[in-house]
Amino acid sequence: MTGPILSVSDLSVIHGNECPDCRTSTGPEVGTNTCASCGAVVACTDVSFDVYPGQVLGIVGESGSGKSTVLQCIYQDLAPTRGDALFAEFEQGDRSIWQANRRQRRELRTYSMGMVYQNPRQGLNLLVTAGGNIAERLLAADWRRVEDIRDTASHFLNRTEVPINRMDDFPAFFSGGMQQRVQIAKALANNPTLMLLDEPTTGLDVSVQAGVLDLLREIQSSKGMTVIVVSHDLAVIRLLADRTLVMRHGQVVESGLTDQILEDPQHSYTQLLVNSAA
Amino acid sequence: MGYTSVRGGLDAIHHAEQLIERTVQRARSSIDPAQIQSFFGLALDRVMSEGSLYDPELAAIALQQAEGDIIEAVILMRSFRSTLPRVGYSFAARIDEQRVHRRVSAAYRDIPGGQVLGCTRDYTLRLLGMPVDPLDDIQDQDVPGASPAFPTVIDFLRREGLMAEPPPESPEENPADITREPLRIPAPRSARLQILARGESGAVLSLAYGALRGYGLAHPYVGEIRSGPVPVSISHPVTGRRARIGWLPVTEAHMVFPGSGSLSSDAADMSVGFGISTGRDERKAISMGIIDENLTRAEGKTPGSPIEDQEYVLHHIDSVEASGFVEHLKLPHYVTFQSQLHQSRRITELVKASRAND
Amino acid sequence: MTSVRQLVQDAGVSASAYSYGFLDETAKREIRRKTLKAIAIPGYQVPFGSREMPVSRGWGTGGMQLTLSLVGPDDVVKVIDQGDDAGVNAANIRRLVERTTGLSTTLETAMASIIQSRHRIPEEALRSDQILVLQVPVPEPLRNVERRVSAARVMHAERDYSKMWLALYEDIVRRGEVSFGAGYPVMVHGRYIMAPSPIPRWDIPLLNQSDALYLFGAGREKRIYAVPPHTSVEPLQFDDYPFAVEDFDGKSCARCGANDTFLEESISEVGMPRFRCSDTAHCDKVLESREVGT
Repeated sequence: MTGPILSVSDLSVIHGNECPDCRTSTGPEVGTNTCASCGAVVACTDVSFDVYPGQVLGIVGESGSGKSTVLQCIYQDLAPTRGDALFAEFEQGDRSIWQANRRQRRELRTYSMGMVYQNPRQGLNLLVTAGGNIAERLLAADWRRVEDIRDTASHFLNRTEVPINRMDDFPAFFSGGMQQRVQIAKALANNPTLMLLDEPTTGLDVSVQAGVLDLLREIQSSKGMTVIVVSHDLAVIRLLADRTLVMRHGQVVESGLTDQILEDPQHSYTQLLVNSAA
Repeated sequence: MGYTSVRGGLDAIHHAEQLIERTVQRARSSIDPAQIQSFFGLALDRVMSEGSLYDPELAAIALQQAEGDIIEAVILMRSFRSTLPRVGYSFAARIDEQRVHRRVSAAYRDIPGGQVLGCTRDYTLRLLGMPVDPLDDIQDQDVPGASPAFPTVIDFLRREGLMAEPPPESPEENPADITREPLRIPAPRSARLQILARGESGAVLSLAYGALRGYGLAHPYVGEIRSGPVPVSISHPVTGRRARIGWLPVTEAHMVFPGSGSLSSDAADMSVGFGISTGRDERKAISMGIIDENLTRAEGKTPGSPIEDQEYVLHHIDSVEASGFVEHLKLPHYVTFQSQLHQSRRITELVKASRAND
Repeated sequence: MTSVRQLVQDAGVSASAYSYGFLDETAKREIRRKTLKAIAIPGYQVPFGSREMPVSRGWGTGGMQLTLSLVGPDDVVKVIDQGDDAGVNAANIRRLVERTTGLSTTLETAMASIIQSRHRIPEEALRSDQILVLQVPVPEPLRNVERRVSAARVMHAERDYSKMWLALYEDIVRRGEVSFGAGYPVMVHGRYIMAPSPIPRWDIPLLNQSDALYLFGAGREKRIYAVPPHTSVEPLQFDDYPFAVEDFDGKSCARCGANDTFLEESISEVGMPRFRCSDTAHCDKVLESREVGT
C-alpha cells in the first residue's frame, strides 16, 4: 500500500501572543477559542491527519471551528504557528511544506495544488477574462502558446459547464454559480494532485448547489483526484467525503470513515450535528 | 519652424533662453534680492522647505531667477544642493531651546508659558487692497524672543500617561538620508519625515485635507504650533564638545490624535503627528503632522486609502519629481508616437477584420 | 576664495564653481559602483542615490548622471534625443556636458565613446569600445500590472512573471495582438524582465548579443540597470504570436532615400504624411555617401 500524499501533524494556529495556558483554556471542553489568560485567539491546535491518494477527506464543523484555517495553511495563504505538513510532491515528503521558501510555495500552488474558495472573488481575478483566469495558472507553468492555452481553457470551461462563448467575457458579470464553475475550472487547469475546496457551495443558491456538487463528485471520481473539502454542511460531506474530521473550537473531536461517523457518532457534538441535520 | 526643426536645435534653445534671460536681467536690475528677502519671506520659506536648503539669500536669488515660480526656484536650489558634500550631522535640535516668536495651543486655553499670538495673519480681514491702519507704537523689544524655556503641551499628556514617551535617542545612529539613499518601502520614519518636509506644499495640503475629510484619521487637535529659531549644534571636530553653529527658524506642529487605546493592548490613547517647516509656514507644518500620523498608524496594515499608503504618499509629493515628469511630456516624442501609430493602426485593422468576419 | 554666492550672483554662473562633470566625487563614485553592480546582474534594477541635476527630473537626469560619472578626459560624447542630435533636449544636455567637463562632443556615432540617448538606439552598429546610455522614464516593466514598487521587487526576486504574461494574453484576446509600441518589455539573460526604455520595437533586436555596453539610467525613479555586451535579450512573445518590428511598407526617407531605417512620419502643409530617418546622424551619412558617389 502506498503512503499518504499529505501528512499533517500537530498543526496549531494562534493569533496574538501565545501563553502556556492557551492549550488548556481553549477547545471544545472549555467552549471557546479565546485564551482566558492572555487573550490570544486559538484558531486551531494539534490538528493531525493523513490523506491518501485518490481519497476525499471532509472537514466539518461550525464557523470558528478552525476547519478553514487548516485549509488555508495547506494552501499557504496563512502561516501556521507550528506543525508540519509532509507532501509527497515536495522534496519527497522529507521536509514540511511550511519550511518551503516563497518560490517553492508558489511552485506548489502552480503545479501541485488547486484551491476553490467559498467566495469566487477570492479565487478569481475579476479584472481579467474567464479564459485569462485559467490562462494565469498555465502561464505560471510556462505555457507559451496562445492556441494551446485557449484549447485547455475551453476544455476545462466545457468540463465545468461554462458556455465557451463566455470565455472572453469578464466573470464580474457572471452569476454566482457560473463564477464558481470558472473558479473550479481555474483550480483544475494544471491537473493538480491535491484539490482544496473551502465551502465550495455555501454561497450559492440551493438550486445551483446540487449541480456544482455533482460536477465536483464526477470530476473527482473520473480523475481519481485527492481532495480535502471543508464544509459546515453535513450533506456536502456525506456526498463527497470518504473520511471525515469533525472539528470544534480549534480541535478535532472525532475522525473516521464518513459513513461510520454519520451512522454512529461518538462525540456528543457530532451527535448534535448529525441529529440536527437529520 | 522653431520647435520642430530638424537642425538648429541649439539656436532655438539659445533664442528661447534669451527671452527668459531678458526678463531675469530686468528683474535683477530693478529688484535687489535683499528686497525679496524682506518682503516675500513666506515665499522663501516654501522655497527653502521644498528645496531642503536653508539659505534665505540663495532662495531670494532663486525666486528672482524663477520669475516667482516656486517650483522652478526649488529646482534651482535642489540642483545647487546636490553639488554640496555632506559634512556631518548635527545633534537633534532641542525644541525647548527654541526662541519662541509665536506659540498657540488649540487644546488648552491656558498653558505654561501662555499663548503667544506673535505675527500672524489668522485674524486679519481678507479685504483686497485693505486700507492701512495707523500703526501702534510697538517696540521690537516687546516682541518675545529671548523667551524662557517653554515646556511642550505633549509633555503634559505624556506625564499623565495619555501619550507614549518618545523612543530614546540613539546618538550613534544617523537618520536615513533620502538624498543619498533611494527610498525603500516600508520607509523608516526618519525618511518619511524628510520626504514630507520637502514635499510640495500644495500636495501635502491636499492629502492632509483628504485625510481630514474622511479618507484618514478623524479630527486631530493642534496640541501646539510654535515658531521661532532653534539652535543648531554639532560635535566640535577638534574638541568633540557640543558647539552651536547657528540658528534655524522653524515652525513645528504637534498634532494630537486620540483613539489608539484598546482593551487588548497597553497602548496610550493619544499619539502625536509631527510637522515641521522652515520659517513660518504653519499650513505646511500642520498638514505634514496630519500625514505623519496617518502613515504611522497605517504601518504594517493594508492601506485602505491613499493617505494610508506609503507608496502613494511618499512617491508623489516631491515637486521636483512630479513637475519634471509631468512637464517632460512637452519633450519631443516623435519616435515613441511613431511606434504608437503603427500599433494603433494595426489594432484598428484587426478590429475591422474581426467585425467583417462576424 | 570666491564665495559660491558671489558666483551665483554674477549671473553668468561660472561653470568653474562646479566639480568636473557637475557631480561631486562621492556621488560619481557611488554611481560607478552601482553601475558595476548593474553590469554584474544583467537586467536587474539597482537603486541608487539619484542626485538632483540642473534640469528638471524626468528630462534625462538618470542618463546624465551615468554619462557624467563615466566621462574622462579621453572621451568623446554624443547626445541624441529621439534619434536627433539637434533635438532641444539633446542640445541642452550636450551643452551641460561641454560646460562641466570641457570635453568635445560629436554628432558622428562612430566617433563617440559614450552616447547618451533618449528613446533610440543608433542605426549604425555599435562597437565594443562604445557605451550607449539610455534615459529611462519608467524603469519598472511591471508597473502596468503591479503599480506598487515593493510588490514588483518581490516579483522580480522570485521571477514571478505570470501577471505580465497574463497582461500579454489578455491584450491578444481583446485587441488582437500585444499592443506595446515603444518600450516593448524584454527578458534579459533569461532572468529579469526589463523595460528597454521607450525605444521603438525596431531597436529591440539591437539589444540582443550586442558588442557594446548598454546602460540605463532613471533619475527620478532612482534606478540604474544594464545590458552587458553579448547578453541575450528577448522580447516577451508567445510562440504563435511572434514579436515583430514596425513595418514601413517599402517607404523610404524623403531626405536620404534610405528604406532600411526607422522612419519618422510628419504631416506636410497639405496634410500628406511624409517620412524621413529618425536617426539624423545616420541620415546625414547616407546622404553624404550618395553625394560622394554621384
